[in-house]
Formats: sequence, structure tokens, C-alpha cells
Amino acid sequence: MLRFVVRRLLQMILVFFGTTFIVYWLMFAGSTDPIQALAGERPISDTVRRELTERYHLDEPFLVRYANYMANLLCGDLGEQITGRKVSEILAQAWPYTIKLGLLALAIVAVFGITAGVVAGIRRGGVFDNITLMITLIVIGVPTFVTGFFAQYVLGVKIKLFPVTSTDGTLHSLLLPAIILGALSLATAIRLTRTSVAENLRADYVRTARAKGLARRRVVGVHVLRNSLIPVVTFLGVELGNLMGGAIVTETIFNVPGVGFQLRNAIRLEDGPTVVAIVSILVIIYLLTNLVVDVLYAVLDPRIRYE
Amino acid sequence: MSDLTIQRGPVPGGHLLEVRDLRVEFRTRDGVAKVINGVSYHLDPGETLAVLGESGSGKSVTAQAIMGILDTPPAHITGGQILYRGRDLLTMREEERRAVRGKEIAMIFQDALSALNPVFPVGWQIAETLRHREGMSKQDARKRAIELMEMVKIPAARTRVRDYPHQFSGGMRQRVMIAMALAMNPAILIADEPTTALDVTVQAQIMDLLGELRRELDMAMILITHDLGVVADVADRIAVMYAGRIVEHADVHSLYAAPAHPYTKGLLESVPRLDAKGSQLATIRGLPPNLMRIPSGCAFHPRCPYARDICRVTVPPQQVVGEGRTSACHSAKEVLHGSRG
Amino acid sequence: MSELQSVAATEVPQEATAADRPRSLAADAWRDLRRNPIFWIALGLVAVLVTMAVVPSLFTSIDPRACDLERSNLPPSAEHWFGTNVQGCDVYARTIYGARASIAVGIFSTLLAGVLALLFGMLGGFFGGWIDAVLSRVLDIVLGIPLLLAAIVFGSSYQPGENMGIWPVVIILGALGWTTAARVVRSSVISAKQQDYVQAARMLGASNLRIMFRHILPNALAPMIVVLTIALGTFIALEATLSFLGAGLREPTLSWGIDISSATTRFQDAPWPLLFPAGFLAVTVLAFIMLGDAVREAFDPRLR
Repeated sequence: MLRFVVRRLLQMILVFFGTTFIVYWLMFAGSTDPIQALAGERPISDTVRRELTERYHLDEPFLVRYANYMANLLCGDLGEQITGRKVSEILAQAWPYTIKLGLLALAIVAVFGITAGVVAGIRRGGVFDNITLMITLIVIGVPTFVTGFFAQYVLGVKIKLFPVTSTDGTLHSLLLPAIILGALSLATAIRLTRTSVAENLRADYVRTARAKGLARRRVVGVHVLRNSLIPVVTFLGVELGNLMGGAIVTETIFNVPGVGFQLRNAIRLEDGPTVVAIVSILVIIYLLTNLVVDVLYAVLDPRIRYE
Repeated sequence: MSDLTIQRGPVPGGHLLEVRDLRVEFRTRDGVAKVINGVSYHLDPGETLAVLGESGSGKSVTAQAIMGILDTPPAHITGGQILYRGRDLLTMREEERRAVRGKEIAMIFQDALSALNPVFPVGWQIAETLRHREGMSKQDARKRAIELMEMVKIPAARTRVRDYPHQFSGGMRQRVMIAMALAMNPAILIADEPTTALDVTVQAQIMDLLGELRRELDMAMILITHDLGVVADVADRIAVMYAGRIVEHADVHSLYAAPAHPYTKGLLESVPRLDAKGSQLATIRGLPPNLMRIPSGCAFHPRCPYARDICRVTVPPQQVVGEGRTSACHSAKEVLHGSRG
Repeated sequence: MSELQSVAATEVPQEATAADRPRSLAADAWRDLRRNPIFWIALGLVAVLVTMAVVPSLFTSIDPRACDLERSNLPPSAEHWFGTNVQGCDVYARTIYGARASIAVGIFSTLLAGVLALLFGMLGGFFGGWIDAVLSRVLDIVLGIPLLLAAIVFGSSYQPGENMGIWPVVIILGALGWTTAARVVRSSVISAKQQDYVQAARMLGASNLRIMFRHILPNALAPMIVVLTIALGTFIALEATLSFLGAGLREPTLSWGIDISSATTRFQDAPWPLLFPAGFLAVTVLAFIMLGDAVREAFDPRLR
């Protein structure tokens, strides 16, 4: 087990450097004038130019710049925005919103997704199953920003069930954004649970459990569920990382001042350093959650554990 | 609760288990398959009955019908009775049925790796019925699980009780299944092809174990198999099945010495013999029937060397051909005499 | 009696007792597919939409770029079936012509993703060893960035004003979205490699290339196609999301994402410029995903 974790950690480090390198390269290497890239479309005077060159070591080759950047990153220095504000400050303020949003969305996905999936899986082909399939298909098909927009309009403006924007960060104001954010994951979770449950219900060990005279409630609730939930739980773990990425759209629509919101602003203002910083952090989180999920998988499925 | 508890002890004037004229259909999108067409057999305390037949003969379905674990749909029981200690299981409510299932009649299956739940330790699975159906405490149930594992001769039971199914070899896994089935001291054990997935030496060990346990626990056993070699040492009586019917029923010695049905004869003759080196293997020509279109009359007639006109038209009744022997063949006596000598 | 015990028991020949005609998986799948109404509906929709993309003039004679600021934000009428947007352009025409960009992005990025997936999956799965290890690491790295994030970074890094049309977005989506398909290809290559007929071909002297193309490729194609059909729908949705965030297609390219994005500000007064492109977008994505779903259900033997 320990060897497994160590191996995955090493892989993770490799992937981390690989992805941050790509992100950094995408952001900066493409443009012929790196200083202009830093400033976007704004004109730059010579003094500013010299100062920026010195500060960011811009006269040095690309790889060195990358190395410097990574060194700073790992010490917690995420650089500064064009305006001079430290990126880490901005992120520290924005994080709580995104975390609350993400966890709320995950909770909704877990509770409703698994329940609906189990019911659909048990009564495969039934009315509930077909309705769920249709609804999930629509949710998967319509892009988040469309559903988010309509939800905001219908439920926020017209029916006034929820606040239109969530700048205060209270749970109530985050509820609708969380539902929208989680909608796609919810649909996938339902389908995954449904398939897993339906497959496991046909397994041989179910026949054995019934032959032991166990009550159907126990056969399904303990034997089938424990096996069916393995892929679902691992999926949920990975989804937490995805939710962080998907929050960009939701936070933009609902004006939640979280990390995604900041990222979108940075894109609009062509603020290179901020974009790279935020994406790098998100990549780290994504990789970490993947690692945790892999370990979780080994914990849940004894067949993996003893390789 | 007296309704649900079943008394042990000798059954007054009847068999321990009796299947009477059981009929089962499988209704699918492509048609109706008549899987069981009037099967009758019985089992007395301490006996071993072997049910012999190839894939599709209906031997496993009969056992599952007895246990009450057939998937309905697509399976439908369309007739007959299954009497356990004189009470018809098919007319019982599900709670009464469940009281019998696993506790009075237990079943073990062919492939232990898929039949055991991969995510729970074997000790947990063995003790599960003890904890949840007999209300034992966790510690007592665990102790009993270790005892059961030792009874089926699993070495180092004390430590292995925490292991998972995939950590055992095929033979050991089958022993785990046996231990699990015996946990509640059933009166009848149904073994559905228990050794088919194992290699020959392990097969012999498992069959020996089953024989021993049966004697020690004074248990009756139904052994379902397609393998003639496995049956000979263990069974008291044999029922041969073909296309959902019992075609021959005899005690094991008489059957092997002189079969009274062409199918049984064909099966016995197709067993390769060490002293027949160099000659061609005998086979039964033709293929087993499509259960959605069973041949008219006797289902075996297209493949039968003794077939006559009547065989195409009339389903042969069970004819008594000796003491406690029946054969469903119009030419039963002829076959029997042809076998002797 | 002892002879019978000591001799290996014979197995009575086990022949299939079920259907008389042998049925292949493909034939079964096609039969199920034919009966599935969703398959036909989706196929019909896709056909209409692709026609719309290829020959938009079949559906409208109005020029989507003929915009008259005087006629801004008009509701639907006989003259402008879907009304006009804030710049006075006919929404119906813009929606019809917008199909081209969205569907083209979907199709081409899927093709690119498919080619990459086949390349990586087959090379890694077939040769194994260090080639597989290296390719798997590359796959991990690409997977390490959530698709949307990477697309945003890439999409926002090329300078505005250079109008390269749909190709930057196509390359982004294709180059980052091949991973799931590659995994599927790789696992089917690995299992196909172990089949007896591959060993037989090798012993008969077939070259690696021949084995790969003749024997293994057909097996890997089917599951990959299923994954890619669904991916097509998601790529179209992703393009719209990218355009919405400002990191996708840019003017003067006509796309639903751009139209939706610019219509959000005046939505309360004039909902039509947003509703119609959004509706078309949803229907398109749904059509492709339903198609892929129907194909997958037909091909999955376990769900029978």
C-alpha cells in the first residue's frame, strides 16, 4: 500500500511539472514580446519596460523564466497582477467562496445522485428510470452557461425564489449556483450509479446471498450497494476537482466572487500572471484530489489493495 | 413464530423433500422455452441424490426452483409441487419460504470466485447468516466461522478468516462456500456443479470432503453435475435429466451396471476407457434440443439408436424396470436387457 | 466401477441450444438500433443540422451580415422570423449560418481527437514496454489539466485580431480532448493483442504494421467511435462555453456561442437573440449525444 502511494506521488510530481510547464508556455511563449503579453494591450513606457524586464528576468531564456516561476510558486509567491496587487492575496479572499460553492455542489450531487441512481438501477426499464434518463440526457446536452442563465432568469428574476447574485456568500444565495454547478455531475452520477447497480444486481454473489436466505433489503442495501458504490465514490472524488474548474462559468453568471470569477476577469483583462497563477493552483488541487481518489479506490476495493 | 419454524426429525410417512411434476417455462423476447417438463424426484434423510445431465437439461433450474431463487420474470413456474417435510414450498408466502431457504435447505454454486462477494472478508460472509438470522453476537459468530473453516479443512483458519475471496485458491474458495452453506446446519445441501471449475485432484478432495461432512452432519445432499466420474463414489441414487425431464432414475450400482435408457447408455459408453486405447471414441450423435422447439414425442428420439415410430408421437411414461428403478423409454426393457451381458 | 473413477470423465458436447442462426454482435446491435426511435430522431436531426452547416442558403436567403442599426432588437415578425439582435442583424439568418462554425468545430476537433487517440492508443497498447510508459505519462499530463481550464488558457493566449477562423479552437479541443478515447483504444488494443488469431498471424510472418491494421484496428474502432460520437456533442458545447467566456471563437466568425454571449446583456428587453441560438445549440448537442448514446447501448452486450 505504501509503495502504491509513493509511486503515485512520484507520478503526480512529474505530471505537475509537465502541466504547469505547458500552461506557462501557452501563456507566454506564444507571444513575441513577453512584456507586451504581461501588459496586454496597454502601451508601455521605456522605464516600465526596463523595470518589468528586471523584475521578471525577461531577458533570460524561457526555461530559466519557467524555473524561476516554479521556484517562486513553491515558496508561495504567486507574483503580482499588473495592478500590483499580490495574486496570493486575491486568491486568499476568493477561495472561501469557491470552496463553499464546490462542497455544496458535491453534497447535492452525492445525496441526490446516488439515491436517484440506486432507484433507477433497481427498477431498470421502469418509469422512474426512463424519466431520469431523459432528464439527465437534457442536462448533459445543454451547456452549463445556458442552464445557469435560464435558472437565474426564471428562478431569480421572475419567480424570485433565489437571489440573483451571490455576492454575500450566504448558504441560501449559493444554493442555486451550487445546483447549476453540480447539474452536470449529478446527471453523470445518476447514470453511473444506475449502471453499476444494474450490473451488480445480476452478479453471481447476489444469487448466493439470496440462497443464504437473507432479506432482499439486506442483499441490495449491503451486498449490492457496497460493490456498486466503488466506481461512484471514485467518480465523486474526481468531480471535486472538476467542480473547481466548472465554477468559472457559474461564478461568472451569478457573480460569486470566487476563484473562477477572478480567473475570468484575468482572462478578460489579459492579465497573464494571474491566469497562470490561478491555473497552476487549480492543477495542483486537481492532481491532489486524483491521488486521494486513487488511494480511496484501493481502500474500497480489496482486489486492488493486494496487488 | 410456530408457523415459520420447521420441526426436525423423521418425516411421518413421506420423503424429506419431494418434487412432484414440476413445470417451468422461460418467457423471452424470442419465444417460450420449456425448461422443465414434469420433473419428479425425492430425497430422504441422509441420502445423496445425483442429478445428472448436460447444459440445458434443466438440472440447475430445478434446484433454483427448490430454493426459490429463480428470476421471475423470465422464469415462470407453471405447475407442480415442491414438498419439504410435507409442506408445499410453492404455495408458501415469501417469509415462510425464506425461513426454509439457507436454514433448512442450503445451496453451493459452481464458481466460488464469482459466487462470493469480493469486497467482504470470508469470515464475515460465513458468519453473516449467524449474525443476521440467528442473532449471534459478533464474537460468537466469528468463533463459529473459524470452527466452520476448520471443519472444511482450511489451514490457518484463525488468520485466514480475515482474508478476501480472491486471496484463496480455487479449491479453498469452494471450501469457504461449503462452510458458509453449512453455517446454519441445514437438513439438505444442494451442490450445483461444485467441482466443475476445479482441476481433477482438487475435485477429488472436495468430493471427499462433501462425503465426510454429509456423514458427520447426517445431511441429505442433491449433487448436480454433468460429470459421470464425480458421481460414482458419492451418490446413492441417480436421476438422469434430458430436455427438462427425468429419463432414468436408479440406484447408482444398477445404473452403472446396466442402464435402462438409451441416453444413459450413450453417456456411459462415451466415457473414455483406459483399456480401449486405439479405438475411436463413442459419442451420442446429434445435438441437444432447442428448448423452444422440443421434438415431439420423446425428446431424445432424433438421436436415439433404439427409436421406433411410437417414439416420434407419444411421450414415453415412466416405466418401472426394477426395484426402485424407472425409465422413460418405450424400449426400456429392451435397452435394459441389451445392457446386461 | 473403479475404472470409471480413475478415468477423466468425458464432457458431453456442449452445443448452443438457443438460436439456430449464429448472430454477430454487430448484427444484433444493428437490429436493436433499427428499432430504437431515439436513434432515428437523433439521426434525422443530425442530418438536418449538417445540411444547415454545409448549405445554409437552403434555409434562408437573408445575409446574416446585413445588419441595420436602425432595426435593432426587433421582436419576431414576418420579415425577421426570429427578430433582430442588438446590431440589427437578422437572428434567424445568424442562427442558420452559425450552425456551420459550431458543427464544423465539433466535427474537426473530433476528427483530430480521434486520430490522436488512435495513434497513442495503438502505439502504446501494441508495443507496450517503455513506449507505453512514456505515452501513458503524456496522457497523464494532458489529463492533468481540466479541459475547460486548458482551453481557456490556450484560447486567451493568441492575440485578438488575427482571425484564423475556427482552427485555433479546433486544435485546442482536439489536442486536449483525445484522452478518454485514447484510453479506450489502448485497452481494446491490449485485449485484442492477446487473442489467438493475432498470435497465429504473427507466426505466419505478418509484419507488425499488417497486424495492427488488419487485425487490431477493427476491434479498437468500435468502442472509440462510441466515445467520439458523444465527445462530438460535448465539444460543440465546450466551444460555446469558451466563446461565452471570451476564450473561443472571435468575431467576425459567426457562432452560436458568440451570439448568446453578446445577447445576455439586453436579455430582459429582448430575449429572442439569446433564446434561438441557445435553443439550436441545445438541440444540436443533444442530437449528437443521443446518437452516441443509442449506439453505445446497442453495442453493449451486458445491458441486454
